[in-house]
Amino acid sequence: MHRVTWNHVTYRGVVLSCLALLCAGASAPDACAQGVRGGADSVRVQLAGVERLSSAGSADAGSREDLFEVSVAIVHARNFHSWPDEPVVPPELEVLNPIATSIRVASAPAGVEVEVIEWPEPVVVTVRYTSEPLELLSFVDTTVARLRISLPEDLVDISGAAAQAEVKPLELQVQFQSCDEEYCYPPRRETLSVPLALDP
Amino acid sequence: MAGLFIALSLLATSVGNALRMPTDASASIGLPVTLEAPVTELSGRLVAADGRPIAVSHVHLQGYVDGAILASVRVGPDGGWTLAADTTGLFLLWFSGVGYRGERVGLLLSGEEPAIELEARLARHEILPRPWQAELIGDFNEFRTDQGGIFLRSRTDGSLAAEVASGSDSIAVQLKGVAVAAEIELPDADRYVYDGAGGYRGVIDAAGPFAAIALDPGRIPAGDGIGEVTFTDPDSESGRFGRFSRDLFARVDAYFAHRARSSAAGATLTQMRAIYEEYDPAPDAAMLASYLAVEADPFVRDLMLTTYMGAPIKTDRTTARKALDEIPPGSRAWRAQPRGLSEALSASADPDRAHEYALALLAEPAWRSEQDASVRSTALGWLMEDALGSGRPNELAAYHAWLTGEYAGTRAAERAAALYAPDRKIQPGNRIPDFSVRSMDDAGASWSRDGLEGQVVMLDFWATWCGPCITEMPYLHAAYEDWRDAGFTILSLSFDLAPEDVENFRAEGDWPMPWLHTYVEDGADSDLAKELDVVNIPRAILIGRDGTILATNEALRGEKLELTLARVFEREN
Repeated sequence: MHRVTWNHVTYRGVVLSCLALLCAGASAPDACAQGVRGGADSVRVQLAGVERLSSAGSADAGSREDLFEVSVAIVHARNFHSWPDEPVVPPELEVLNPIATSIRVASAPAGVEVEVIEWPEPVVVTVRYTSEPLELLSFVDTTVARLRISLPEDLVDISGAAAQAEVKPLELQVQFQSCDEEYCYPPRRETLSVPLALDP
Repeated sequence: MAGLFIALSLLATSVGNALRMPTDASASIGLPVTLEAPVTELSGRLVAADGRPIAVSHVHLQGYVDGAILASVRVGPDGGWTLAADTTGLFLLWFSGVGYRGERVGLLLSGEEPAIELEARLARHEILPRPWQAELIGDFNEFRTDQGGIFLRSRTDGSLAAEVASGSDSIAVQLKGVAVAAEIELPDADRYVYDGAGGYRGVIDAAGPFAAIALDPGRIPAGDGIGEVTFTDPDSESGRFGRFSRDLFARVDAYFAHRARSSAAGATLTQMRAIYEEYDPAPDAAMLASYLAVEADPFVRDLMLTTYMGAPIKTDRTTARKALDEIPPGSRAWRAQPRGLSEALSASADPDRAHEYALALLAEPAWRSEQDASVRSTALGWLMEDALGSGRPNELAAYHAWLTGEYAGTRAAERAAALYAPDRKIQPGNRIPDFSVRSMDDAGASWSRDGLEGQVVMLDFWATWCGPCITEMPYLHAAYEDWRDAGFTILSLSFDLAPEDVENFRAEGDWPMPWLHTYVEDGADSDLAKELDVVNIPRAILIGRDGTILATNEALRGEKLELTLARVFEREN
């Protein structure tokens, strides 16, 4: 039976402590403190239109025992939106170079791989900028992406305190670029650390 | 009649059951009675367009500018209603019915008419052809129509459904994407609350953490008839202004419909701007002129002009100048619609006349003794923004201090504080810090503050990934073409991921940007961006020939860019 919490996941004897947190925006300090469970992993992002960026692991990944799931949450500041993973540029802005929201593996223990990233459907946001209203398919509010991660056999079976020091965390690089109706913040790339600690 | 706009207080007499309102319910009942103000008995009939009674309908007295609900009465089974008001001023009277499109009329209460009688007929909503992209808005997204709605799923039996998380034992919702240009109430809701703008919100009781919402499309009544509001005495003071207000609201609706067409899918930015500019305000102005031609009461004439100028329509220069010429600076009509004052001053396109008018208004003894500062702060706010936009730093500092000191807490003062702060480094009147950047087009060239002296230069921080920056392109190109011979140029500073993005944008798109370009390595993290206080884009700084900052940001966005440049170069001549 899998025991799932926000902080860590028991998976065949492996506890996957999976939390990193980054904060940004005017109301960030409160939001950040509220969400931090592993304070050492928190990073603050200044003025990027995203208040919080976090990840959490879950063992509920179907029948395969070598899979686990990481959820990455991007919490937008009020009135801000980001391009989705597959931007659709409206004809009015045809020459625009959209910067897609993306997640890639920056570093991982040998054999740990992202098999698939499931993104939510974007929603329509109406912006006015300085002219007429435009409808943009966007990520707004809280966007949660789910990553299916496959583990190598040696990591699935490993246990013991000694391994805690040996297994490097999974490093995910999240890119986003957000705007409100008047301004855009430059694209940010932030790294979330997903420690793969072992249950003694 | 003139000068009868005294402080608001209201006595609401309800007929039948008081309506549950989503906003400040205390505004509708229990308000203090002011014996000094004459009581006006409002009454009439509210029925459907076909003359039949409406099962659940109400009449609401609301603020003309802010829409605040001052009183609501439930309409009786025969369509009759009465309401006693002991106040004077300009108001909105909204007529609403569950399942019907609300109708509104401007209501002038001068205190000189002891009774005003009206008849209102409500039509059904015009329903969009199916299939619908039906969407729920509600408590969960603060009834925002632009984001955060929940789409209803189609079920095999033809109905639509959604589950909405509920933080309490009930949830209030409206339907978007079903009726033309309106959010409507759910049929068969457990109860209804007024939405403040002629419609209702359906309240659904939630048994648990989720409310299950189902919609049978067949239960949404189809449109019939035309809504109307008429005064029993159309020649009375209230009747004359009421008829004008109905026509004004119709023009506002037509303007919004035009703007909606301009944003239809497939239109390019240039086409959208052309559609916007092709809107002809002449019929709107002709409508106003037809009322002014027969209106003899000077105060009612003033009120027609101020409410026209304050309406969200495309105002024209001629009418704006007429407003400044005809309305005395001390007219209380400005109080009914302070936004009209700001619009008249700006749209007149005659800065000297507007400046003179605003100063005359501020000097009016009648305004100086007024407790309500909305008109004075509006005039002062316009003067400050005028000084900001045209680079007159001494006036700017003086108006800013006056506004944020004497009128602290007003909307104009809050806006002033956001636009300007005396200790800010990058703002009009200050000398731009020195900088040096390399040309993207000429490897050997670079530009600095001193090297650009002698020209009027706009620093334009942008990127090809920035939507609001792209929408500035038509304005930038038009301004460059109009003023380059006068010594104006633009230095665009790109925050793109790579210089090639800019080169491709200029080569492949509609916007060649034939001016100076530089690429800012590290974008907003660069020393240049930090020195010039640029954290997001688009950001613009207009620098005079001697290196003094003339205008920043908002004064340089959209159509304001052309106006700001015109004033800068007019001052030089």
